[in-house]
Parts: sequence; C-alpha cells; structure tokens
Amino acid sequence: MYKDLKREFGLFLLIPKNIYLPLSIYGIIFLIFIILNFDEQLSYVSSFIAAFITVFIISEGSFKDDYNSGYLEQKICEGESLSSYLFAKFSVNLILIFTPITLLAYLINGFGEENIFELIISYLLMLSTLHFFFNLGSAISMKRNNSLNALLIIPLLIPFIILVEEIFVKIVLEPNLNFLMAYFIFSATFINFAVIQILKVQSK
Amino acid sequence: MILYKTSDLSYEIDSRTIFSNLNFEISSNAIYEIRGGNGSGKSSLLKILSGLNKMDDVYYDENLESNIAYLGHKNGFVEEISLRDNFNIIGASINDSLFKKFGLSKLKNHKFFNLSFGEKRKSALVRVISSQKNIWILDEPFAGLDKESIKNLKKVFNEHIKKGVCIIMANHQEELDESIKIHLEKNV
Repeated sequence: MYKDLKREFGLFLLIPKNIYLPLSIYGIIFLIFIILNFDEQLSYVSSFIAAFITVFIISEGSFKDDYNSGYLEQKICEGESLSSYLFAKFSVNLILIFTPITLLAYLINGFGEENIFELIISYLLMLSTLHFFFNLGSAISMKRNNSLNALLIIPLLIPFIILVEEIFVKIVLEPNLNFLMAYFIFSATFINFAVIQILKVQSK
Repeated sequence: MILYKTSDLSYEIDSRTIFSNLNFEISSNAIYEIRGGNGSGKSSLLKILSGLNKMDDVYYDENLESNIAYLGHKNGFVEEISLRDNFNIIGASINDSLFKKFGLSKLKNHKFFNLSFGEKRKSALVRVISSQKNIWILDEPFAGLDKESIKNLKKVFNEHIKKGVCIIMANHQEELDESIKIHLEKNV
C-alpha cells in the first residue's frame, strides 16, 4: 500500500501537469459557463458539467501510461496487489484534484448555502463516483486506445445524474445523499473489482 | 526444489496453436533459456510462468507469487522523470556498484526519455537484479545491449545463481553455455 501511494504521489508531484491540467480544464469550462451568463440556479449545473468533463478527461488516461510503459504487466506478474494500486490512484486524485475542484466550485458559487458541509461532502462523493465509473471505461479502452469505449458506461450514470441534480439544483439532501453514498459504495467496491479483473485480462 | 512442472502444456491464441505438448521442469539455482524463432511463443510461455496467464497444465510452487521479478518487452519506467526518481518512487534501492558496472552512474539525473534504448534496458535490468527476489523472468534481456554489458550481465547472472536465484529468460541471441535450454518449435 505504502509503495503504491509513494509512486502515485511521486508521479503527481514530479510531473506537475498531472495536477494543473485537470484544474485548468475545470476552470476553463466553468469560466465559459460564467461568460455565457447562466442564471444563479444553473451555476451548479455548470459546475457539474465542468466536473463531469474534467473527470472524464483525467480518467481516460488512468491506466494507459502504466500499460504502455509495461508497469502494469510487471505489477501483475510480480504478484502485487491491484486493489492498493487503485486505492492509491483514488487517494491522490481525491487529495490533489477533487478537493481543490470542490473548493473552486464553492468559491465561485459562494458559500451561502445552509447545508454547506453536506454539499461539500456530496460534491466529493460525486467526483469520486464519477472517477470510479470512468476508470471502468478507461480499463476497457486501455488496450485499443479508443476512448469512445469509455462513453459506453455513461448510461450507467443516468440515475446518478438525476440524484446529483436533486442534491445540487433542488438542494433536497434527504434521501438523495443516502442514495449517493450507496452509489459511491457500489462504485468503490463492485466497479473497482470489475476494473481489476479487466486490467488482468487486458494485460495478458 | 521444483518451482514449475508442465505436463503436455499447449497454448493457443485465436485458435492458432502457438506450442503444444511441452514437458519440462524448472528448479532453483539454474538459468533456463527459452529458445525459438519469432512467434514460437517465448513471451507467451514467460507470461504463463509468471502467473499472468495461469494454466492448469502447469504446477506452480506455492511460494512463487511474491518471489518473482519480471521484465517484459517494456521497461516499466516513466519517461518524463529522471532515472533516480523512477527508482525512488517505486521504492527500489539504487545500488551504486551495479549502476557503475552497467555505465549508468552518470545518467541517474537524466530524464528517462533522454536515455538510449540500451541504457533504458540496462536500467530495467538493474531494477530486477537489485530486487532481492529469487526468480527472475526476463524477456530478451540481451536485446539492445553492447558486448561489454552482455558480458557484465552474464557475470551477474552467474553470481546470483550461486546465491540461489533461478533465471528464466527468452533469448534468441547467442546461447549461454551454462543454461538449460527449452526449445520451442514454431507450429505452422
């Protein structure tokens, strides 16, 4: 576990592009929506769309570099755990990408809401769930270098998008936050399990 | 100690037979050289032995899994960072004498993409050699290496065999005198 965390944090800190590229993409998309001057209620929709596209873009290459360099093949052959590899990838994204994106979203939208703590947690859960789902697409498309495959998993996200709309646009936290948590747990367990199996098959 | 034993091992890809009815044993303290032409299944056999593609026709010793150091066709390093950083982020020790032996000492701070093919290959071999693992599975370890480096690598192999290491390699270059050969014939 420590070894994987060390590698993933090392890669993000030694290659600053890994941090500033997602934040720039998010900022630029959000800025475009601000320039288009949507009304206040839609600013959360804008931030959702910006987050959705950002996570899609960063997740698209989640495993491609490690596959192309032969690291993934080496890791599987040497019997190292892919669960800790995925956990390390998630942790580094949560700390260095998703948390700054959340703060940026609330900085732009303002901290005026009553349930700000719940909304921040919901935002982080939303980003994390998107990350796990897009990782599945990334694992599927890893070998054939075809990011269109990643789009195939978008239908799985339709209930999730409805939930997110209820939370961030209508600000109805109960019971939507519970469902969002369930979606997160499902993606963190079952989807990650599927990703591990797909990575093993793809590396053969 | 027997590490692997195959019984009539056959392998197909897309209903094309790559090899069939292979029978051999692999024990510790020896070098095994898998030889054969292009497409004869050398790399596939290495993947089977490493456990990436486990087969029922192969007996695997139960202590194998955490004991394998593997080097495939690709080196497993990140191109955008230096050789030193590549070793540091995966927690691999930088063995100065090995770096010196393979002429890599002055290249530690160079970005990996600035190294030549042979230097990259030697860096990846140094990772395997300094890994403290007992089974080395290597796919064409001599590819891209100059005569001096090949000589040094053979010397390192012989030193480690005496320490109990088992080396299994695919090789279609010059044969090693002291190795046990596993020949694969191309199925047409």
